[in-house]
Order: sequence, then C-alpha cells, then structure tokens
Amino acid sequence: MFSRALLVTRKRRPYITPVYIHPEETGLAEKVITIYEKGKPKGDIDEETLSLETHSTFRVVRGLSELMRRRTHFEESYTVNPQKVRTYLYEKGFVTSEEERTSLLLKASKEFDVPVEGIETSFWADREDYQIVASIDDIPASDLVRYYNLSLTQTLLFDALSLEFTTSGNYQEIFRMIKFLGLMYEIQSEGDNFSVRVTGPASLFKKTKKYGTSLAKLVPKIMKAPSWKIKAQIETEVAGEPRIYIFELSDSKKGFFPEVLEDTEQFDSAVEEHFVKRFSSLRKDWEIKREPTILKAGPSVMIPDFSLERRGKRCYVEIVGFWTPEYIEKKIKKIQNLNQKILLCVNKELQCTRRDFKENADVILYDKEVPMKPVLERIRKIELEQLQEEKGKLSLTDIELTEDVTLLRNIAQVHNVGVETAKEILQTSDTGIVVGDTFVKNSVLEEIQKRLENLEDMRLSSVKNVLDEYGLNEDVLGKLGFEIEWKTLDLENAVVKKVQSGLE
Amino acid sequence: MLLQFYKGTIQLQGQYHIPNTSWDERSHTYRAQALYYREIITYLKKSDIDYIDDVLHLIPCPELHFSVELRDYQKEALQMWLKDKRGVIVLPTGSGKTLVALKAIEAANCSTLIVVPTLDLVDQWKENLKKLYVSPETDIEIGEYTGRKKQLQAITITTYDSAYINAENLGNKFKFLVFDEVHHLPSEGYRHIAEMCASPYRMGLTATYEREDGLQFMLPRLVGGKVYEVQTTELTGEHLSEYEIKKIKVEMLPDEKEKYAENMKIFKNYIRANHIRMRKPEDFQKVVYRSGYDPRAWRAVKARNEARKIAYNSQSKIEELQKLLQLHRNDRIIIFTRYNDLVYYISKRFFIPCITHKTDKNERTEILKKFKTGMYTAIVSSQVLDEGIDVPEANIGIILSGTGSLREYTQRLGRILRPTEKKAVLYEVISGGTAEIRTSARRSRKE
Repeated sequence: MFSRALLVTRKRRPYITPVYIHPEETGLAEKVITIYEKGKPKGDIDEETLSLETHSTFRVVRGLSELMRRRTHFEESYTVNPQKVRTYLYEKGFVTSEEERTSLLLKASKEFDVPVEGIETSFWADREDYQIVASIDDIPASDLVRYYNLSLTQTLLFDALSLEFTTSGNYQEIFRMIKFLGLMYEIQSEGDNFSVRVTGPASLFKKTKKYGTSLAKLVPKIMKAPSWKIKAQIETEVAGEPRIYIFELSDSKKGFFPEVLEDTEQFDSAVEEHFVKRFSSLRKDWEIKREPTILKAGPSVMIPDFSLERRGKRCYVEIVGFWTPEYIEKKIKKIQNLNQKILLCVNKELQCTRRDFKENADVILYDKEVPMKPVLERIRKIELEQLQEEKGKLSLTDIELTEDVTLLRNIAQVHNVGVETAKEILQTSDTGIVVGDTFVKNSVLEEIQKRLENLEDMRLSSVKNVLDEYGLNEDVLGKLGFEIEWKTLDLENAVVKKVQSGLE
Repeated sequence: MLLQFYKGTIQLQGQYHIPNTSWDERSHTYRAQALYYREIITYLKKSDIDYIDDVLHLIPCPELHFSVELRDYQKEALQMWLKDKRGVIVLPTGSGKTLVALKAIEAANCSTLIVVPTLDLVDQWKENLKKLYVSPETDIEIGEYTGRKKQLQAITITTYDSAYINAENLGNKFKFLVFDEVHHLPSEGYRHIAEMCASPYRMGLTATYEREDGLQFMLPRLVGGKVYEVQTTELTGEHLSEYEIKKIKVEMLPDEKEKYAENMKIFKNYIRANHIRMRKPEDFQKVVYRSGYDPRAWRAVKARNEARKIAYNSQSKIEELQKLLQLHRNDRIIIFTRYNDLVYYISKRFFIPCITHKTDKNERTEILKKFKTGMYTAIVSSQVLDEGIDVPEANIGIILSGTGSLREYTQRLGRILRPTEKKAVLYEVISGGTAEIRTSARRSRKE
C-alpha cells in the first residue's frame, strides 16, 4: 500500500484502473533496485531516486523505491556520538561569526580528540538522511513489479466505497478477515453462483471512503482463491467533482501479482482430518470437498466444513467441536436460518440436544471421532432418493441396445444415471438379462447355450474360452442351467455340468 | 428496543422506527450513527418506549479532581459549556484552554477521550493531567492511544489520525470527548471520529473557529455549537503580552536572483499560455492537478517549487539572521522556518539547538528544559511548535518563512506572546521582489 500521491490510474468512463507494469517490463524496476547498495547513505538514495524521475514516471519510481526501502535495513555510522557533539557545542552558546565558529570547533576537536572534520561530519550523523544501508532483502525485478502492482491496486481501493467479489474458495479466511476488519456484507446468489458485496457499518448512512483501507486489506485474501473476481466502486475526482468509477479485476491478470503460496491443507482439528480420510477410503464414488461454498443463513453466511457430492447430489457436513457457549448459540441461530440441509456432527461434550438445531439439521453426536456408520446411512438414503429420481426420469424404452453384450456402466454414463439405476431398469427387460456388470441379449444367451451343449471338452478352462469370445465370465453359467463341479482347487480339474434345462 | 454499539454505529432491534435511524438489510436491524446516541435515548424516554441500553461499555473511572484555579473568563467559559455539556469554546492561544478542559473533565467526572492533532500535544496533555491530578488515595494513569502506544485508561489521549482509524472500536468506551484544536475535526476523514463515537458529552477547543474552507458549519452537529468566545484583542495586555511586528525585506544574492527569475519565468510562461489566474491558493492546486497529465504543467510546478525554495533559503536571509542574533545576544529567541533543511543548516552554522518533527523525544525535552533554565538562549524549529506545544517563554520571534495561512500566523504569534519583562518582537524576514511578499501581505490583511 502506498500513499495516495503515488497512485497512477487510467480512467475511461465508467472504468478506472491502476496503470500496472507488465512483469516482463522490468527496466525501471532494475534501475531502482541498483540504487539500493550496501553502505550507501539514505540521503544519496533519495537523491538518485529523484534523478530517475521524469514527468511520466515519477510516481512509479517513487512507488518502486518505497517498496525497496521497506526491504532495506539502515544503520547509523559515525566516529563521535553526534548527540554529545551537539550538546557540547550548543552549551557553549550560539556563534554569530565565522571566527567564533572556527575556534569553537577547534575546542570541540580537542575535547573529543578527533580532527575538526570528524566533528563536522558527526554533527548530524544520527539523522535519518545520513544512515547507511546495512542490508537488503534481495528481490528479482519481476517480483518487485508484482508487489508494485498489488500495492497500486490496494492504494486505489483506499477510495473505494464498496467492494464486490466472487471466489472459488478460501472462504473461511476471507470471511474471518471481513469480521476482523469490522466490515459488513450482503450475499447475492443465483443458483450455485454468488457474489459478496462488502461495505462498512456506516456506509448505510452515506457513501464513505472510511472503509477503503480495510477493503484494500481484503484483496490479498481474495487473490488466494483458485479463481476470483473483484469489482469496486471508486470515488474519484473528475474536473473538480467527486464521481464514482468502477474498478474490475480478475484472476486473468494473476501473473501481474505476487504468487501466493496456497496453504497446505490445514484442518481445524484432528476430528476433521480423520473424517476426510475415513470417508474417502470408504466411499470412493463420492467426492469430499473442504469449505465447498458459502451458504446464506439469514443476513449472515455459513461456510460448511465439507460437502459430499455425487452426480449433482450434495450433502453439507459441519463438524462442531468444542467451543464457547456463545459460539454454539450463534451457530444454532445460523443453522436455523439456513435454507439448506446440513449434516451436523456435534461433540457430545457440548451438552446440546438434537432439538436445539430444529428441522433443517440432521444431527449426529460424536465422542472422539465422527462415527462412519450413521454418516453412511445418510449417504445411502440420498443414494436411494437419487435412484428413485433417476428411475422416474429414465425408462426402458429410452435405452438403445445395439450390442449383444453391454457393460452397465457404459449405459449409465450415456444416460447420466448411476450403475445401480441402469441395473434396476434393465432387470425389467424381456429382451435379455443382467449378469454381473453386463446386460446380455437373449439371442446371444441361446447361442452360447447351444455351443456349450455341443461342446465335448467340458473342462472349465475350455468353457471359459467360449465365454471369453462374448466378453462374459462364468457368472453367466447359472443362468444357462450349468454348474461348476470342483473336484480339487485346481482350475484344470473343474468341470461344467448341465443341471437343468436352462433358458425357459 | 435493544440498543447495541456496533463498530461506530448503534444497532437497534425492535418494532419502532426512531428518528436518525435507518433499516439495515445486511443485519436485519435498524442502525444509526453513534453520534445520535444521546438524541435517540432522549426520544425513547420522551416517547415512553421500553428499551435496553447496551451501547456504552465505559472504562471504569476513579473520582477526578484537578488542582486548577480558573480565571474569570475561564470560569465563564466552563459555566456556558456545562449548560448542555456540548459545544466549542474559542479562546486565544496561551489563554489556558487546557485548564478549562480539565475542570470540565472534573465536573463531568467520567471516562474521557482527548483528541489532539500531534504527538507533542499528546505528551503535553499527559504531563498536565498527571501534574494537576489530585486525589487522596490513588495516582492516575493516563492512557495513550496512538501509533506508538495503545493503552486505554479512564482518561486517554489520542491523535486525530489514530482516533480516525480506531473510532469504530473506541466509540463506546468514553462518556466525554474533548477535541483540542477542534477546527481540524470537520475535515472529511476526521469527521468520522465524532460520528462514530456515542459519547454524550463533547467539548471542542480552539483559537481559530473559522476554517478557510468554511466547513466549521459542521461543528454544531459534531460537537455542539460555539458556547463561548473571546478574541485575542480582548485579552491583550491583561493576560497576554504586547508585541510588535517588524518586517525585514532582504534582497537575494545576485546568483540566487538569477536562478529564481529563471525558474519563475518557466512557471509564469505556463500560467500565461494557459490563461490561468493566480489569486487563491486553490488556483495553484489547479496547476498541480494539471501536472498529472500535462508534462509542461509538471515542469512549471517543479520550477515554481524550486524558485520558492531559493527564496526561502536565500543566503541573504542567513546573513540577516546573523545580524539579528548579534543584536539580541541577551534575549530569548525562537526562530521559525518552514524547511527542515534550513533548520538543520542554521543549527549547524550557528550552533543553535534545533527541533523538528524528527527530533528524538529525549533530546527535544532536554533542549526545551535547557531553554527554560536559560542555558540555551535560542531555539530553531520547523513546524512542530505550531500547535499548542508548551514552549518556554521567549521575547524574540524570527520567522524566516511561512505558508501564509491565517491560523498558522495567529498560533505562531501566540508562542511568543507570553509575558516577560521585555516587550516581544516578531521579525518576519522575507525576500524582496518575490512571490513571498504576496504571501506575507495576504496574511497581514486578514489579520
């Protein structure tokens, strides 16, 4: 963040945007970086910075230099303690002629046992301008430019009246920051998409720039999300009048800004971490997402810990560990205001009852770990619901079967339903039967039956060769009225026998 | 109704729509600027509406007593203020505004936040409060809420800048707000301090109620109107010493003159070519604004600043200063100049202790102490002594440069116009034949 004086913008009604430097155009940044050299006095740095300035670049140069200055450590350097020198000279009373001055300097030189020159140079050596560069935190020019762009963006936002954003993640951190900064928000949602409009409490009474600095602080948190978009109303003076312009920015310009290292997955608690591990190993067909979205809960927002998703069906999970009574009270209120179903896993120690959470919540109480059984039961319920829905949507006549033998999962994929759904529907068909994970046409079954009846070598291995030709396995034998007789555990000794007439 | 403080506003839950409140869709409550707390409570009481007031969370406060004896006009000022416990008191610099405020704090006897413009004033208020606080049992700890320290006590001092940034959190902790140099308050940002505080009692202090931009009209809403005013002239001779102004015109050295003319020409040519007339300070701001997109304007502004710097820093002024120093060997002298560079130059050239805003606090205290005891007889300073800093008495003032604003002029005068045995003299050293003359002339006319 810079002072407003360093802001460079371009305005094209109704838009305003900072004039960014492309991270590959590092010429100016490199020049500024070379000014900062170990051992150089601050005053010299200022002067050299000044000499780099031209009409079109002076703000940019100062901005870049400001960023370098923050990475530089300065130190004082002198032969005699400056304050002692000054006090000594001041106490002798002021001088009003060159002669008086010279003789006093000589006295001081004797007193401090240094040449007159040393007295003169030490006199102001503790002043900021005379401090010396002790160390510099190095930075590549392209990164300096990126930090410059970020600072410029934040400086523009100092004059923001409101900020709107959408992101695809990092909700917890963003909303915690909003709360920490004492800002307020409104959510506008449309289906799965939503945008958040951030203002301050007093924005209600009049448009104010009071919250600009806070809004600026929010930006790096927003930029941490995998994808993001911001839009701000900026108050700016045009021809002597205050006007409102719009500033827009999105992750399409990601390369212009410092790269934010995404936090390695950090869980709020071990309970949450175990929940993820256990659930994902048990149900690989379900996807588990952390901080999946934000949910509107009355005027405020709730960020569920997880969502469990499968083919558009979704279940939110919130794990409520141990916290303060106020926290629980707030959470209960939020959940009561929620217009979404949510699975709540509540720590038994919290002394809440299911009734506290009203009908929108499905509560599982837990002790040390969230028990998987009730979770899976909930999931099964959703699966059954989905099965019913899909069965209602798809009928047997919709399914076109051209192949002799078809894999159920291919049919499921084509019609965007579950394998289970496809199976249940095809079981009602009279043109064929479901065997294992395939659907086989009657005509094919008859053909196989005939071939097997005429087969001389009835050892399992040779029967399997026939079945292989059709892409089937021995599961189909039962349907054809055959049975495998195991003499030993050896496959070679197993024989296939006819037990009944087979296909009716 | 339930009334709660939320970040500089008051949230109201309940059925009634009360004046000064608006419905807030974001929180599903009514909301008001904290400023209106007193009005809202009055309205609720008058209308017989039941309410729970959870707005103020005051810092516990001990009994407050200060050993202060007020002069008649100070007593009068206090009486006027106590009628409504709101309003601005206008008294000239050096007439003891602080003491009136201390007595007001004693009368209100509650947690108080004092807002002042500079860190120097923070230190000075702190010192005065500590020095004058009397209580049989306890000592008082004075809080400070600034960039360098964040400590809240029953009496806390803060700067306008810190108060602006933190108003939403400070707003319900103090019952009484004192604004020193209250003419700063109507500025666009600082206004929020008064708006975001619920404090029912408010006092403003200043020597210069009027602002050049006319925004003083906001003060009645923010702190209450003017409740008492005494002009400098009414107090002169009684509590303030007489003074004499001497203007000294000096010619710049030939090479300075040449450089000055060269730079001024660039500026003037630009003005003429673009048909800009320079009458008010805002006219110059217009040129500065143009410099944002016009390279020639940028060069013109640069040239003008360079010219001014030459005039302000003219060696002939230094020579004049040397003469004045010789003349007033036995007096107590304070030298003002606008440029830090010049302060440092004078300090090293004449070995006169100097104070700028960058001077280390201990060193500054030491310098002021030694000036007070007479070990030092001169001080040179840039603008940090401007507002209300406790400057030891001096009888000679030398202004080597000035910005030409009315307020600065009166307050700088106030620094010097403390009673001493000798008559006070204020020298204003200006360069002849420059734009500086106009600045000086403008100030005197308004005076």
